[in-house]
Amino acid sequence: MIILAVYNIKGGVGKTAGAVNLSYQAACEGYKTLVCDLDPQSAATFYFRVVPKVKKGRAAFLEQPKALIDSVKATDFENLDLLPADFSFRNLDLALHRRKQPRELLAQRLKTVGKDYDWVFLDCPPNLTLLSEHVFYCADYILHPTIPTVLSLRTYKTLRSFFKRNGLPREKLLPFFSMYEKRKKMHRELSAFMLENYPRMLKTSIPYASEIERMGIHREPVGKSIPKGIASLAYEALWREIKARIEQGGAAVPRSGI
Amino acid sequence: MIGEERFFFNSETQLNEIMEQMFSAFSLAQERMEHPQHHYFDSFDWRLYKSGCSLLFDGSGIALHSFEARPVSPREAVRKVPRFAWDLPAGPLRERLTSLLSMRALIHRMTVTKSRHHVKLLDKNEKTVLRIILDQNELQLDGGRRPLPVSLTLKPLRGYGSHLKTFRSWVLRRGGALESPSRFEAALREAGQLPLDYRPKPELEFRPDDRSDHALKQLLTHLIEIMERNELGIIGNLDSEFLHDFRVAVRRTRSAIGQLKKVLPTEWERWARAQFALLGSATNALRDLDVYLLEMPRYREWVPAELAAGLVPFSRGLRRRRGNELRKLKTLLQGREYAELKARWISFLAESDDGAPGPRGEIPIGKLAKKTIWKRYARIHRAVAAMSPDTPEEEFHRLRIQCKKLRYLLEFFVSLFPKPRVNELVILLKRLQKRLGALNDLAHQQSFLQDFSQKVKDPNAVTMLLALGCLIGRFQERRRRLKLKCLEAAQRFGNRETQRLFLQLSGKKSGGGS
Repeated sequence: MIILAVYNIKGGVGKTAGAVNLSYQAACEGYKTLVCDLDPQSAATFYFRVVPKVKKGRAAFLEQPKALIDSVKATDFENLDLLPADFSFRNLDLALHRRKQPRELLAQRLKTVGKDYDWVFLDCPPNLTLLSEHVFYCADYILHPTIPTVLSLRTYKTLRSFFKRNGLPREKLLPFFSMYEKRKKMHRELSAFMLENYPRMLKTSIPYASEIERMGIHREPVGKSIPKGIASLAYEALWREIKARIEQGGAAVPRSGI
Repeated sequence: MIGEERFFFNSETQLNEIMEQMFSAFSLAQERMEHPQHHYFDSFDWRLYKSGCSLLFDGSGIALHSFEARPVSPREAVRKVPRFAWDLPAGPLRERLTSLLSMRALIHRMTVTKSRHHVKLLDKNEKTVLRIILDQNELQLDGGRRPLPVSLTLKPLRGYGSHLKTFRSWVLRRGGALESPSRFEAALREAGQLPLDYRPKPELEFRPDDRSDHALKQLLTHLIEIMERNELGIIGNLDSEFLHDFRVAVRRTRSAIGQLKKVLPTEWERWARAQFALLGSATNALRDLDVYLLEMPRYREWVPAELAAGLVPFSRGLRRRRGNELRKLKTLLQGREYAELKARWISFLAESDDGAPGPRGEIPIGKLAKKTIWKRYARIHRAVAAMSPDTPEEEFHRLRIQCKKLRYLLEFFVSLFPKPRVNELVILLKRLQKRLGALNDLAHQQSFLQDFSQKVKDPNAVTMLLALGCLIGRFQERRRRLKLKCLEAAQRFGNRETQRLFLQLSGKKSGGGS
């Protein structure tokens, strides 16, 4: 099982779209894939048309792992399941923090719910809380969608510093460009600059595309609604690059179910 | 996670009817329609059926399925069904099929054509909460198609158990019955296939006071039927086991007539012994070649890597010879003489007992079987008692033949004795026979290789000759070791306990001399 957390402190950068579309790509390749929607806004849950409800709510994470397992739902797509969000997750960080060894508890819960899966995608809320910190420790990699703007670069640098200060390996970070518009000069210049100065940046970028925005209408991954569209092809390529980067780092990528 | 379930409706229920009722009771959406054909395969002797499964080919892949239509193996994408398990790429399915089928070919058993409707049950968010497959099934027959009952498969989705439960109850209320093994068997029968109809080993019921000639004729009738069942497989070159089973039936025929002497009328006994001896000889060469070709993977392991290339022309030569022998045998089996032999023999066996029986024809079979079994065992016992490490190998080969004759007798007449007792003796005998058989096979193969090497004319065939020489050396070494093991096994068989069991079986008192 490999845990990929899709995270950015900023909202509206394409986290949920990333979690949903990349997990769909993994599932299409035959991998058993789970998306955990940790964001109380429950956007990923909405996209998959699932009711945002976890049995026992926050208590499932804290005390009743069986309820967490029982709350997992199959999506409409083969090999792809979802642990839906629940509104009670909005205080999950505080509730975890009141426990002994909260980080280990979160790791254990993710392991329990994810044990039958090859890949677990965490759709993280857009904030920097204790929960986020625990996720940084528990996840194997952090996918960081970044719009190529000055403020986003600043955010990325802040995240890197945070990792450094807290002894977190920066090799976990897998930043990629999201909502990229090649007609915008700033996007072109900033992305070139970041690619040159931050070798960890993934080369594949996700373009700004109306089909990604329309996910809210279709309520399905772009790979399903427009499989040959630019967004779907970009997510496909990004998924390939993520796996290759993981393998380059020496980790074993699970064998596909196909 | 809950698995798939398949339900069948009675033969009067139409698919449209079910669809209409479903759509009015639930919020459903039709996904797609397709027309798959499901082709089912098994070996001639139903090895997959015996293991509770069948091989299903759906046009793009194969997998083993249980009788309840559930996949019980990984699926392998193929364009057509391989003839043998070893034709598949390496993987879990090949392994599984190899262990089930061994060297038997896959034969088509039936085809079911479906009009398949994929339907999904939706909740208020239009989320799919259950998948349903409705099939209008038809059996493909030579003359056309025959309708089979409509089936409905439920494919549950994780986390939506309550929806599954509700829908399932509805299906049951509408008369849906769960898929069962008997339904699969019924479909096979409608397709003209009788599962497990092929039983090469005679399992005939005799009574001790049945006349020996009647019992023998019954046995011989079974054996000629087995021979006939295997003819098409030999002619069609489907797999090597057709010839093997044919030869075993011939051998059993000869053994039965030869051991139960004077039961049949004298002229018939003489005629049959001669005819079946010729028939047996006519199949020897082809069977030997089949065995060598089946052993080829093992030969490759026994030869050093640098000489492995030498086995390629050897294998090619074997295949060429095999082709020639097969043509000869096909000519024989499709020829007039063979047809006349069979017709004559079958007619004789079917005759009522108004004709004069053989001199011992009227003796009760119970008495004759016991006497013959004891006599055969006693001969083996004497031979084993005289054996030592210096005994020539030919004696072991003779012993093997005696053991085979004894085993045939036990198998022919198992119904006359308490089955556990016979089974116990057959197990003891099989252990000894296995060793003796292996020794015989090695001797035979070594002799063949020597003969083959001597006849090689190509002056460039150095690598091949070296490879064959290496194999011959290995055979020699193995024969030496195996002979000692045969002696051990023979002495174990010849012990007091086995003697006691045979005495008991034959109704003799202990101390009854050999």
